[in-house]
Amino acid sequence: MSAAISTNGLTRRFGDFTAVQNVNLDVAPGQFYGFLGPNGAGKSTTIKMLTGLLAPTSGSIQVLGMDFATNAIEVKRQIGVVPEGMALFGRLTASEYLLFVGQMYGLDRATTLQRSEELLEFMNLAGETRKLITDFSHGMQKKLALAAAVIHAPKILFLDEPFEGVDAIAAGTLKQMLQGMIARGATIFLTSHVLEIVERLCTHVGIINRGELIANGSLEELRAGVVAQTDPSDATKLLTLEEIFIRVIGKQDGNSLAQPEAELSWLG
Amino acid sequence: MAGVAQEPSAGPGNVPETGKSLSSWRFFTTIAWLRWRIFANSLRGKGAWGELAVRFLSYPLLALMIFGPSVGAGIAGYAIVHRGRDAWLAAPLWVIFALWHFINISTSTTAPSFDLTTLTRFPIRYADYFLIRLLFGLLDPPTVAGITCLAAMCLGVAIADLTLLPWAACALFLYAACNVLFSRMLYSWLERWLAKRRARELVTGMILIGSLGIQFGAQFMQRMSEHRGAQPSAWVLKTGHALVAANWLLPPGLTAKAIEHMHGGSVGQAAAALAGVLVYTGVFLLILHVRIRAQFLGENLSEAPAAAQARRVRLRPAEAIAGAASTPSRRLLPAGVAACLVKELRYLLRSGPKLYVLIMPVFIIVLMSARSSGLSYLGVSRGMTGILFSYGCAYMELIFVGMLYNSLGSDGWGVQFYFLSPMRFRDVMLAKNLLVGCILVVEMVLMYLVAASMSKAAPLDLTVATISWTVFTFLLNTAIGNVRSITSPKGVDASKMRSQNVSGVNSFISLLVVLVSVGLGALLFWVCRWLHTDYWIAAGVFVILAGVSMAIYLATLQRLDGIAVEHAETLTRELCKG
Repeated sequence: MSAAISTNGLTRRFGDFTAVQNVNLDVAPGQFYGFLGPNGAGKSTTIKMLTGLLAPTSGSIQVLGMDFATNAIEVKRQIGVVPEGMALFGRLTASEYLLFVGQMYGLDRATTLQRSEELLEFMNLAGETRKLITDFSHGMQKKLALAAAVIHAPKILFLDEPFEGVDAIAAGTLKQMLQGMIARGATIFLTSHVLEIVERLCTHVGIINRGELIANGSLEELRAGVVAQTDPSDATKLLTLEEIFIRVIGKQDGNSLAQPEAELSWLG
Repeated sequence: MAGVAQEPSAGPGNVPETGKSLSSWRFFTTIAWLRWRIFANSLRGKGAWGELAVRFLSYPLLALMIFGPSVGAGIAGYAIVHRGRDAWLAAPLWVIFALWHFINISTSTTAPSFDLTTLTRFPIRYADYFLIRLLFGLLDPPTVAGITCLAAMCLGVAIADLTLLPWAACALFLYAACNVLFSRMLYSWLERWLAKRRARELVTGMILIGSLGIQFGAQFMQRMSEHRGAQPSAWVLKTGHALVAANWLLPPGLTAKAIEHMHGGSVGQAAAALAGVLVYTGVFLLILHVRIRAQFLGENLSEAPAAAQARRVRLRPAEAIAGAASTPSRRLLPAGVAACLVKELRYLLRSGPKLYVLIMPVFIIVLMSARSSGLSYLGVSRGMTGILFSYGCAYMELIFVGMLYNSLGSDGWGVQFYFLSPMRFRDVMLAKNLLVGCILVVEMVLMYLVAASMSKAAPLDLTVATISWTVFTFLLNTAIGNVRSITSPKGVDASKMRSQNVSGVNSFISLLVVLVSVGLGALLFWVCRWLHTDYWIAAGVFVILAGVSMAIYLATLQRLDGIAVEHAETLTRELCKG
């Protein structure tokens, strides 16, 4: 069975700066994959390349067995994306936007209208029929962006910080929806700085730092690997994802995150 | 840590320093430096040097635009005082006032903008903030033009009577300050009101009605003045007298009166008139202060609700993402293109300013048709009857270039969606072009019908020549505009009254294309007249050119996907700001 997402030597340079270097990634179908990394590590650049927002300098991307470069349109038909900026058209209403998105993905009008009605109700946005998206709060915009990303029932969903700015109740609803999608066989690729959420939702995790993929596997695999490399004496220790993350990044950065309290002493 | 402690500002003894406000001078220099850095950094992007070159090319033009009215103001000042009719100084002062504020509305900046309201998050004193808001922007073209005109007027007055120089300088300086404050006050409050969408639509509607009303009024007045021998009606005279009387209570009239009284030796009355201007200046300052103070204290103009209301959540994920197979229905256009077309139409219907400019060509033809009809008082206008339709089409092309050369400007963050969706970029642009094309056709039909019904239908040869010229120019502009919209986009903010960024290079190219095509049209028009033939020669030439431009359009449309991918970063970075 081919991977849902697979990259080979994925590299992106901006002039002399290499943002992503030789990333080889495999995400199996049905996986809830968390893609982590510190700020500026190359997460957004990678997700932009995986979704067609940015062309790679070299390397290849396979999505559902199709080469992205040669089958971009077909690949895009199969994926849903909530990008960093949410890609909303501010001067449309929520239902107009969903109608537009559905039709852009080739859904017929009746199906689009039915799904958008259900999605708006599910996202608790059904009462905002006359309000323009530009007048929505950040959280409402996020929910709408997610609704738009799933309206065509994508096989793979890419989410860039989906829970940022979303209230706790809505976040719970969204998590439930995402888990439902996974149960039905969809693949989700998620980036988030909230490691507790990633730990709770994701079965597999990749960690990128300075443009390189430095860890990749299931949570158990990562846990075992980190313990074996940093604290072999206690193989039974159950590390949290945050601890795994800090150890993996700290190891590559020479433990620069180890003693933050020693810095900035003038802060009082 | 020892390394950190050695830093001069890092020791605990320096901590209280951070609580102090910077001196005003340091704030000014810091912001001047910041603006300079924003400008310098703007030269680092793709096409930045082209923008700079266009800006430098536009400076002589700007200087000419300032020089002309300034010379006029100087001559007017001299002539009026020399003839001893000092009160008439109110007339040029009103003209300067109108130019100052009208240009302010009409101009858009090509310079990288910096929103001064963001300074409120720094430990800045209100007085400094207010001064910064007041002083930065004094070098924008309308203000420079206004101040230069007033300086020239002062010079003219001084040449006419040197003894008046100190008082005239004082009065005109105060008038300049009054205008600066009025302008700042007006735009700060307009932005406050325009932050709300409903208010934005209301204001746009009012501007539209006002503008149309002024043009009808001007038309009416012109006809009155052209009506030889006829006396204006009583109410026109009454209105005129009332306006003149009101003028003496307003800054231009008061400034003129101040100079007139001083010239006549009535120092007390001169001082009183000038005090009137001072009162206005103070009132404007106060109103501006209220606005800026509110901004300084932290004002949220967003229309977003403070919090989403908690409502019962119906969890129906199964239905929500059930993947029912889509069954494409029969359509005139591909579904994606149709969806984009509908989206563009919705955007257009919610954009007052765009609708306003789109109405103008038809409106102008209505006015001109009225003038050239049997109701007209001047025979001169009647000569235009045959070419009204052509004139309208040329004007329409000029209006349309703004939409064609930055067609992605209003999409903002939404532009990302075009790259994420399974749509070819060329289809998105095709949908945008189709909408503009449809509007163009509708306007052409309306203009023809208006001209034909109110005045006289254009002859067939001229109609064909005009239509083919319009198609040629439109397709050429669309082809170039599509590429420029992708390679040099600028975000458009509907909530800002002015300071909308526009690409200088785009403006330059569009102006060049329109000038060349209008020039070509005029040339063939006159050649046909000179040869005493009908316009079929011109029609034939333009039909061929329209065919050529159609081929160019189709060729560029095919290349748009590649161009979009190549410029995806520029496009998303530029349109997804803020």
